[in-house]
Amino acid sequence: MNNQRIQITNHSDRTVTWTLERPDGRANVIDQLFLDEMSHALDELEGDKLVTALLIRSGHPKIFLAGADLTTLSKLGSEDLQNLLQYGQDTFTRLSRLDLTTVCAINGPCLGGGYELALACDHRILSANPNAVVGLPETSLGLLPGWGGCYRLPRLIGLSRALPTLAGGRPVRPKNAVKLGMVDQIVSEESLEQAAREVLNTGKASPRLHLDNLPLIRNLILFLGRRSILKMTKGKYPAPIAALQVIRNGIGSGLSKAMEKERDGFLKLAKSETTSNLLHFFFLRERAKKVPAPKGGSDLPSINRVHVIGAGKMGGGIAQWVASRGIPVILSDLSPDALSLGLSTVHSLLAQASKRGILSSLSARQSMDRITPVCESVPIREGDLVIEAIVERIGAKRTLLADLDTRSPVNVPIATNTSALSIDCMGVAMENPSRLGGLHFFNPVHRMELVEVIHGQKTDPAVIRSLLGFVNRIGKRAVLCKDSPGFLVNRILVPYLVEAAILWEEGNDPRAIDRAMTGFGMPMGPLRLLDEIGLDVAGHVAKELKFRLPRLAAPPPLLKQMNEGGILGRKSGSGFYLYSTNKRGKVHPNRELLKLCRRAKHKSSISEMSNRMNLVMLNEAARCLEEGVVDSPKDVDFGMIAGTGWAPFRGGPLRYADSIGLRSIAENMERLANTLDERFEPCQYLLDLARNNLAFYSESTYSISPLSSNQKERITQ
Amino acid sequence: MSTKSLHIVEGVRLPFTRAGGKLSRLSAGDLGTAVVKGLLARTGIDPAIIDEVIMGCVCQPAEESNLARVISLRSGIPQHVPARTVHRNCASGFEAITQAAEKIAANRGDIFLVGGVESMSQVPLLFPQSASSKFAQLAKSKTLRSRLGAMTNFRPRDFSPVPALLKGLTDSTCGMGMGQTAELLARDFNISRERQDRFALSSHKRAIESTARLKEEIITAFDHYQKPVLADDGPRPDSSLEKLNRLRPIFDRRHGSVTAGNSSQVTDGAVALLVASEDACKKYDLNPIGRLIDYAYSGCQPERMGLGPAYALAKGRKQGAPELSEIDLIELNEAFAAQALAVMDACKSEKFCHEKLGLEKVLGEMNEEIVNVNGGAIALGHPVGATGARLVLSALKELKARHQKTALATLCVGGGQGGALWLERN
Repeated sequence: MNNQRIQITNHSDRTVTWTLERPDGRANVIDQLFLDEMSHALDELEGDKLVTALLIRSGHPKIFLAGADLTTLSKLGSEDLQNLLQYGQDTFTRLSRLDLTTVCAINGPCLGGGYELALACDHRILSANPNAVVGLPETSLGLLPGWGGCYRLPRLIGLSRALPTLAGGRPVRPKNAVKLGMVDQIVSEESLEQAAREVLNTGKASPRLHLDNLPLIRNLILFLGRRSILKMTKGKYPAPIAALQVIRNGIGSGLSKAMEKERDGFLKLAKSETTSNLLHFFFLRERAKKVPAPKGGSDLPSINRVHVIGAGKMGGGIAQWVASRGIPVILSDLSPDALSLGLSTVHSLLAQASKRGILSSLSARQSMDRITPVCESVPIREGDLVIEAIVERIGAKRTLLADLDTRSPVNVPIATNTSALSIDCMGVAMENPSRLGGLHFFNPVHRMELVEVIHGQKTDPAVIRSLLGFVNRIGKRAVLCKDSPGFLVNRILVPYLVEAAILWEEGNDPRAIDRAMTGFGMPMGPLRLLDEIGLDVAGHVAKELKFRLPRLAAPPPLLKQMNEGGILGRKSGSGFYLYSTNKRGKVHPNRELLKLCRRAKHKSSISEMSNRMNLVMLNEAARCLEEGVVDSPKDVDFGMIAGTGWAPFRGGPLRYADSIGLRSIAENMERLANTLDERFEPCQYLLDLARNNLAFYSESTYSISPLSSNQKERITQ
Repeated sequence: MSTKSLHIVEGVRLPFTRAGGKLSRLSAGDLGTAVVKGLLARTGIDPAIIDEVIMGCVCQPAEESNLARVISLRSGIPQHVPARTVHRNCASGFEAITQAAEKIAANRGDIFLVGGVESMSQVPLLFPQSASSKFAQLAKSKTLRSRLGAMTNFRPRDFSPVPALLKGLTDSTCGMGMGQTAELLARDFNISRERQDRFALSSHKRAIESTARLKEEIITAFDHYQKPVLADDGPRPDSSLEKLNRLRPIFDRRHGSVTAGNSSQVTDGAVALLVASEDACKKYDLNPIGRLIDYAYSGCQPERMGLGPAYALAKGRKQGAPELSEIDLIELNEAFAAQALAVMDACKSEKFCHEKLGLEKVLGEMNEEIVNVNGGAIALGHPVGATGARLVLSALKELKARHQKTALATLCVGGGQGGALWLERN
C-alpha cells in the first residue's frame, strides 16, 4: 500500500514503527485519510499476535502531530462532523486496546488530536526541545477535545491537574509536561528515538489511581474549577465550561457513554457563533503567515543582520525579539545611558523568558551575545536590514534616514518603526526613498504578535517582500497597510479612545466607561488602556492623527491638561486611575482630574456608551477599506484582534458589524450624528453597503469595492 | 621581514577599569566578547572571512578554557573559523599579533582577529596542593569510617586559599615577586624614590590630558546592572608628589622604594585588533592604520626581568630593526616606574650595553618626551594579557594624530623576557 500519512515498518525484533510523514513534507495533521490509514494499520496489528510493541514517531523534522485538520473540519456539516468524531474516537480507542506496548516518541508540537492520539498510547517520551509542546488547546478555539481527550487526560494525570490544562487550552512546554505527568519523561532531542525504543519492552502501562478522581473530591474540584473558569472567561467563552461538563460526565461513567457525551459537547460548541468567530480568527492568523507579497522589482539579498537604531522601549524590545530568533543585531544609540537602559530591558526580558522556561538560560545568554551595542555609527553592509526606532519627531527621523540612505548599500532595506508619522513624508529626505518601508511593531514587542508593514507610495515592492519575509521569519504576523494616518490599528483605536475620554468629560464614571467595553469583551477598558499607553504618547498620536484627518473628533482638552499636569498614566503613578505601588491593590479613579477639568454631569447608560465607542471604531474600520488602507475586511479584523486584543470571540469589528447587520448600524450612526455630533456620520462605503443590503464579508462586496481594486493596482505597479 | 607583512586594519579596546570595580562582574569571556563584537561592528567586515582568532590571556579562566574559542563563538564568528589562546605572560597581547604575522608570512592565512583579555577581578582562589589531594582522598572514600579518617587529615592551613594572581605575579624559578624584581633594578641603577614618583605622576598627568585622544580607541562597556563605562578609571586627576610620597613601599617595607603609587594598576581590560596581509587589505578594500615592520623577543635574567625591553632592542638591532634614533614614538610598558626608568637608563649606558648586551654602540636615548605620551600602565592599568595589544593600538592611533611614521612598542615579561614591536603608519 502506498501510504500518504503513516509509513509502516516491521522490524525483525517483532516490533512495528509508524512514522507519521507526508510525501509532500507538510506538517502532520489528522484528517480523514490519516484515520483511514491508521485504522487499516490497526487491522493488521490486531490480527498479528506476534508483534510485541508499536513505536509511533514523526518523520517531520519539527512537528510530531499538529492536531486535526481544521480547514476541512470547519467546513463539515453537523452529520459529517458527528461521523468524523466517532471515527476518530473509535480508532483511538482501538489503539488504546491493543495487546502490545505502544510508545510515542514526540519530537515536536503534539497538540489537540495529536496529543489525544498520544494519550491513547501506553507511554509518551518527549524531546526536551522547548518547541516540543504538548496539550489540548481546543478550548482556545471554542471547541473541546473530541477524540477521547476529555476522558483520558483526567485518568492519566488526575482531575486537579487535567482541568486547568483542558480549560486553559495552553500548550505545555516539556519541563512542565513531565512535571504534570502529561508525558513520562523528557530526553534530549538526539536520544529521543533510542529512549523510546528502550521503553518498548517495559510492557503496557497500568491504570493509575488518582485520589482527586474519587467522587467527593472531584465534585469539590469541579465546583471550584467552574467558579474560576467563569471568573476567567467572564462568561464570554462557553468552551471551557462545556469541557468541564464533559469531564464531569466522563469521569464517572464508562467509555462508550463518555465518548457520546464528548461528541455531543463538541457538536453543540461547533454550532455556536463564538466558536465560529474564534475559528475565523484562527484562519485569519494562518492567513497572516502568507500575506500576498506585491510583485515587481528585483529581490533583495536575504537578511542576516539587523541594525536597530534607538534603544528606547521599542528599539530594545525589537532587538530582544530579533536576537532571540537567532538573528544578530546591532543596537545603536548615541546616548550610552539610553543604550545601557535598553540593554537592561533586553536582559530582563530574556531573564523572564528563561525563568518561565521559554528559553534555556544558555540560549538567553546566546541571545544577549547576538546583540552588539554601539554608541557610534557603524558600517552597514549588504544583507543587513535597518530598523529605525528613534523618537517620533519628523525632523529627527528625516535627518537620520537621510544619513542612513547615504551610507547603506543600495540593496539594504530601511524600515521605520513609527506609529503616527507618514512614511512618504519621511522619505522626502532620502535620495532613494524606494528603499524605505514601515515596520510598525506594537508595545510590548515580545507579547504583541502583530506587525504592520507599511507600503509608502514610493516603496519598492521588493522592499515590501523583504520586510514581509522578515516579519514571518521572526515569528510575527503581518498586515500590509498603505501609508496613511495611523495606518490600520491606531487609526481605528484612537477615535475609540478619544470617544472614551469624551464620555468621561460628559460626566461618566471612568469605571463605568471601562466596564462598558470589558463587558463587550475587550481585555481592558479604554481609559485603563490610555493609562497603560501613557497619556503623552496617546496624546501625541491623537494630535497627529487629528492634524492629518481633520474630520476626526478632536482629543478633548482634558488629555492636554493631564499631560501638562504630569499625569501620564501608569508610568507616572496616576492617570484616569491612581496606581498605588502595591500591585495587589485595586485601582481607584483619579479624583484629582475633576480639579483639572470641568465636566458635565450627564450620565449615559452602559449600552449607550459601548454603542458609541463601538460605532466610531466601526466607522473608521469601514473607512480603512474605503480608502484602501488595507485590502480586505480580514486584514482589519485580524489587525484589531492581534494588535489590540479586540474581543476575539466576536471575530473582529467588521465581522461583528456584519452579524448585527449594516443597515441597523448605519441607522444607529445617523441617529447619533443627528442628536450628538457629526463624527458619527457613517462613511459612504458603509452607507453603500447598507443600502444594497450587503455585508463587509459578502462575496459581492469584495468585487464591487472600487478602492480595493485601486489598492491592488498600486501594489502591482 | 618577509615580503608579506602584517597590517593593522583597526582596533578597539574596552575601558581599563580597576579590579574589583566597575567591570568586575564580567568574566574574561564577557570582556573579550564585548570587545570583539565592538570591533566587528566598527569595521563592518563579514566575520566569515577571518582565518583565525588569536587572543592572549594570562590567567585563563577554568570555566572558559581556550578563551579565544569561547570569545570567537560568542561573538558570532562562524564555527569554521578556528581560535587559539596564547600565553607569554605580559607579552601575551604581543604574542597574538606576532603569531598572526608569522602565519601571514608563511602564507597560512590573510586575516586574523587578535588581541588580549584579562579579568584580574575574576582570577580564582587556589587551594594548596596539600588540600586538593586530601579532597581527592575524601571523594574516594566509600565507607563512613574511611570518610571520617580522610576528614581528620585536613589542617587549618589547607583552608587558606591563595589568589592565583599572587602566584602568577611570582616567578617560581627565582622565587621573587614582580615587585621585588623592580626593587632590585632600583638599586642596580640607583633610581631614587622621588624619580619614580615623578615618573608616576607624569603618567597620570599625561593620561588625564589625553582623555579625549584615548576615547578614539575605547568603546563603551556595558554591564546590565549599572551605568555604562565610558573611560579608563585608573588615571587620578588629583595625584600629586606629596600624595605619592605618603605611600609605604609594599614589596620591601623597610628599605624599598616601590609603592602601589609607582607601580602599574591591577585592572580588567580587553583589546581587539583586526590584522590582515596587504593582499587581503586590497581584496576587501580595507584601509589599515599601520603595519608591523619587525619584532623581537629575547630572554634575560628572571630576577631582572624588567630589563627585558633592552635585550629585545639589542636583538632587534641585529635583525636590522630601526634604531632608537629613528623612532618617533615609544610605548614602553610601565610595569613599575623603577623598571621603566631602568630600561631607559640601560639603553644609554655604555657599560650595560657593552657588558650585558654585547653591543659596541649604546642602544641610544629614549627621550621621555616621546615615551608613553598618553600615560602608561601606572595610570591606565595593566590587564596583563591585554596590555601588549593596547601598546600597539595606542602607538598607531597616536602616530596618526601626530602625522608621524615609526613607533616602538616594548614591554618586560615576568620570567625574564622582553618583547619589542616596530610599527609604521601607512
